[in-house]
Amino acid sequence: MVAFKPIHRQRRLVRALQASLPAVALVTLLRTPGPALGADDLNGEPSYVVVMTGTDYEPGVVVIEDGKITAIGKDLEYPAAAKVVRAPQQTVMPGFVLARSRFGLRGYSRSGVNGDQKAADEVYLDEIDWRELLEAGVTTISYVPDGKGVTGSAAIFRTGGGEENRLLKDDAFLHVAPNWSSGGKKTLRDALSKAAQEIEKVEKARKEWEEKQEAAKKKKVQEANKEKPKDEEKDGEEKGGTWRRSSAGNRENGKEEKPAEKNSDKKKSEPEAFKPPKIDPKYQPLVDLIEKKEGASMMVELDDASDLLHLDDVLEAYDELAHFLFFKPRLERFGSERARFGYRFEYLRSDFYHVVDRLGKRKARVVLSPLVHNLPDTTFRYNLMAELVRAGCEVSVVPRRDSRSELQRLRARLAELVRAGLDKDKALESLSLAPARAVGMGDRLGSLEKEKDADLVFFDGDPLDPHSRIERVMILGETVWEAD
Amino acid sequence: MGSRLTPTMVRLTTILLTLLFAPQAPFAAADIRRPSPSADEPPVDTPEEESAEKAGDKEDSKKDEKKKKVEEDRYFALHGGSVHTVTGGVLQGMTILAKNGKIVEINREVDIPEKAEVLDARKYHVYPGLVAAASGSIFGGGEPDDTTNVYSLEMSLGLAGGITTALAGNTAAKLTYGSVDDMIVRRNVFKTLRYATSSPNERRKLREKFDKVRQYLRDLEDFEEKKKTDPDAEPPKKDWIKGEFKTCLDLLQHKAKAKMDALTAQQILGACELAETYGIDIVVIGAVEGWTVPSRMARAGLSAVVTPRRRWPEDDTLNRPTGSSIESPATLYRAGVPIAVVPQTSAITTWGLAGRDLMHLNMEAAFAVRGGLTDEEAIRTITIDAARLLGIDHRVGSIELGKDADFIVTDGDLLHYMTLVQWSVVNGRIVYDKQKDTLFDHIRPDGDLNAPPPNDYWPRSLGAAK
Repeated sequence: MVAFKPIHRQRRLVRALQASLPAVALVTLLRTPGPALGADDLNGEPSYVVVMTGTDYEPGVVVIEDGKITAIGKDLEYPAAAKVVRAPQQTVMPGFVLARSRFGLRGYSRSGVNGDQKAADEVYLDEIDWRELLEAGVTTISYVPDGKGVTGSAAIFRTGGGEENRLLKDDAFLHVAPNWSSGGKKTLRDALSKAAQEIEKVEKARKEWEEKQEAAKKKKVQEANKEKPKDEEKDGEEKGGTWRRSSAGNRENGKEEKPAEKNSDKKKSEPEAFKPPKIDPKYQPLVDLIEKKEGASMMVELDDASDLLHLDDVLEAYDELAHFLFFKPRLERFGSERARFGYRFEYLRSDFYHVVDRLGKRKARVVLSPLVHNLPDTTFRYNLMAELVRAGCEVSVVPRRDSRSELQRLRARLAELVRAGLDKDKALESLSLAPARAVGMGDRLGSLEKEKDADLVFFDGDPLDPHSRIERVMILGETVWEAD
Repeated sequence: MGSRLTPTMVRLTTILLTLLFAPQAPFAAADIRRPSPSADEPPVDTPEEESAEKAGDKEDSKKDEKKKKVEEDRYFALHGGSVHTVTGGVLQGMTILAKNGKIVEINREVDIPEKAEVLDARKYHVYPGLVAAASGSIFGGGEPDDTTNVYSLEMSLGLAGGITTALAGNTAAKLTYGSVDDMIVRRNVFKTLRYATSSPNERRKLREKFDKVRQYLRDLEDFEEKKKTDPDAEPPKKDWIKGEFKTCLDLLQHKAKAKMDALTAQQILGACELAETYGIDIVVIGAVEGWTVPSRMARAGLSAVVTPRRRWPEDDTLNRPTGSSIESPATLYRAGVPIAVVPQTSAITTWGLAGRDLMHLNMEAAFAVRGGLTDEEAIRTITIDAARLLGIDHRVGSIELGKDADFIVTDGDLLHYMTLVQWSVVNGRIVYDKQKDTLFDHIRPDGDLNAPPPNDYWPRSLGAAK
């Protein structure tokens, strides 16, 4: 029933997906409009394609080739040999992306700085019930290492498809979960300063090495002046100048490439390659972050609004480290634990309303659970997500807990927030495009655009309508889950 | 034109006021007393000099400097009704101007910069922010600037109780609601010692440690002398001075004060003996039976953190005065023992007896008045005297030029039980506003229960009122 066919067998498969709804354009993404499809193909009833970046289509067609979207729009041409999946009266949107999860993983406690840990090492593909994720529409999941402090690198997985394609990106971002209420700030501050020291260490070694090279060069020149020019000519003839180039290359790269050594006699005169001192692997991700290596980013877990101030206090010393935030859901209980009836209330507390403006000002990327929050110690309810969106933040949502039931409630909870004033487009974005961008996969996932991965979810109605259900989930153009 | 003050006159008045507010001004009672150790040892007091001891502090101050350079000057002006300066009497109709969290001008006519935040408190009383020598539950578990939740309910409640500075562990920190900047006033205020309440054996061990370190200091002096004549003289070994020995050294060198629990007369006398033998500064916490040995405490140079409302029954089996006395704070004060008053529950709580937690610091001081202190003296025990006891009186504890802009604005006499704090200001920022906070907004001074809520009634900042 569920097709878990390895994708490599169908490399050349060309598919067209026919769906639809109101449309203005998305012209830049379209191929030149070709001849209309055959009358047969358009007989399907209207359906809806949610594009995310631009205007939606009704009816719409998505053309998929080799697992990538090659065209999207109305009235598109596609090869006659294409397999056509028709989705009448259905809505298609990009697959859901979870920006932070530990779904199906075992918990363990670890604290301090463990930048060398990898979430990918914890994931055993056959231990996780991927169907629970697929039936909730999740096509991409970002696993973070457990524990407190600097916990390690996150890994992004596809929830379906061939096993060789599952790991989408290793070392996606650094996960930082300081224990804010007891010394977590100090841990983070010390870790960053240690990383800065490591960078200094390397720079210092390089400087020393350069000085040494200079000195050696001078010495060599002096020696050469003293010696007969005869030998020098001989040298050049023998080597053909090759080693000179390679040594120059080494100096530029600063890497440990061994210079081409043909003649052992010449070994002494060759400049030694720069060997950078080893960086403590625990601090390597932080070093990358400070050095602004491409794609380096970190997710910081916050318990309270106050933690943001503490975080800013730490980051102030550095030049804008790339980061996004995760608001840890905190459950609070009223009434007696033992009360079987009567007063016992659970609610989600959050005082992040204090820092909404602060977050909005810097267009922060935030990951949170889509719930109406209660203000601390009160029964006053507050739509935190709507306020964050209004302030200009890019918000992604994750389930409150890593359980099947919460996964399935995700859309309904989001719908509740929409009812309470959240912008609907932003709500849909928070399921796909916003998390994809947050985890650094915005160029491949999260929206239906040309050249992006064909991860699609089909609904039999409005995605935020609690009555509508998921009909089909596609990963790389392959149907990996279908409703009974 | 004639009635207006010219700028020159304003400046002159400012200078006069500066002279008037010089630290050792009025209130004879306080000045007769033995000067507090912090005044004697300048190295302990000022953050600049202290920083040499701790590298972390140095970094902090560096960072602060950097920050201040980037930000533009921040002004705060307070139009006061009765300004209780604590050290300089009560001034009527004064305006206080603060720049970057420091008081720069106190005058009747002040040129207020346009960007200044202005608080009109002409109907109210202005006091310096209260200083609590305890702070359970306001700050986080570790260093306050690392672990404190600056949006916590406890901090709001503390500010509603008028407290702006409190002792967290051995760090004096401010209740900077909504900000983590400029929170620390002074680190390592005290070194905690267990002596008075411990067993005779433990006490002997501690005394031996003190003896050893004192001997080291004497050897060091000898070495300094010897060095003048003999260049080969070897300095005494000091690698063993760690842990408790280091504490002893700091205390003997007056780098910090010792803090210890001492409740009964016997325990207090033990502390006196230690203070006299080694010449260290001791602050005793509790001192319930202090009223029975006040002159001894004064001679030994002890300071005390006391609770007037503490109740202990008399012990009939002992042939000496025992038990607690409401007159204890006054007795100690008159004898010249510096005291700070704290409530019985040294935390913001609701589980104890109502009115006995840290929120009611002013009420505790009022009970000291019942025991014989004057109103002014009672207020001193929760402001400047408490600050002096913590060694932070150069920054907080009174309204003076150059001190931090920490005020509370109350709707009546601070020691009256009906009085509520209307605004709290820390570092020149309003951090508590009764009208805007949900805590005591329902309490209306005119008793009108159906009074309409203020225009910006909560939850105003949340967008719900749209």
